[in-house]
Amino acid sequence: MSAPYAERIHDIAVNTFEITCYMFPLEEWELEEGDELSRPDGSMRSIVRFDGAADGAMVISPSGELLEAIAENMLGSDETDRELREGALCEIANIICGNTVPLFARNENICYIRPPRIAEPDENTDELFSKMNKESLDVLLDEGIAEITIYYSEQEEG
Amino acid sequence: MRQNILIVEDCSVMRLIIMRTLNLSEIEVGEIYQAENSREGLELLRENKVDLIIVDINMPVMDGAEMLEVLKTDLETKYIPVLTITTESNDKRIELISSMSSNVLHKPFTPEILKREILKLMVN
Repeated sequence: MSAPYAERIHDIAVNTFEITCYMFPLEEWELEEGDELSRPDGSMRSIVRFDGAADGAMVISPSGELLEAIAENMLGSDETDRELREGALCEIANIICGNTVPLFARNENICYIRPPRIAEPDENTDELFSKMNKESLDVLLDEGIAEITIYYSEQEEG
Repeated sequence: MRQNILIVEDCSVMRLIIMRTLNLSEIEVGEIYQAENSREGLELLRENKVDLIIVDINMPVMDGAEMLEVLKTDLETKYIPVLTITTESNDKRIELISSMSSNVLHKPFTPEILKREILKLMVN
């Protein structure tokens, strides 16, 4: 892969949040003094596995306020429950991962993504994918922060 | 004439978005049937008359690509318009999915784009 994954995944994530949730990206410098966004605490994470041209997984963890805003904006309603918030997060993870995996495909090989799921509270993904490469990035949005981690092992060429 | 629509999508949020889009469109919507995977979708098709199928590709139990194959080999279903929604970006896979669908819509999309694609299929 020529460009760093993190940068390209960031662009895909920003595009997904803009189109699907009407949210817009922020740069660190755009935050006013005292205008702190809370960090994701990992209490709600969606995992999407993929295999084929590359094996791996994407984990998306939003801050509390972002999680709520994702569901509300997608549905156009401020009456969302936990189930809807989980579903909305999984769908966002599905879209970001689906648009990311072609980055790993060599020689037109196909990456297949598996249905997203919510991680168990005590699920240690670093341990689960310990033999894989790992990259993490933050996506700063006007409604909160999303932390995205991708684990991957690329196939040998040839 | 009212149109019966089958939505095959494992994500309840996406099903709600599709239903909201349908209800806000100019289409005279009759029954909206919902299935969480292709197997359930095929069962609903056996029991009900449907004018449009909206199907996701990435689903558990039986995915959308398998459903498209079944639809296209069955005389009862092969002429029903199918709008496939997917995150798939591989050219070969898109080509395959397109050959079995009336139209393919790539995620992410806005409700406006979804509405436009549904209307296109209903008018045709």
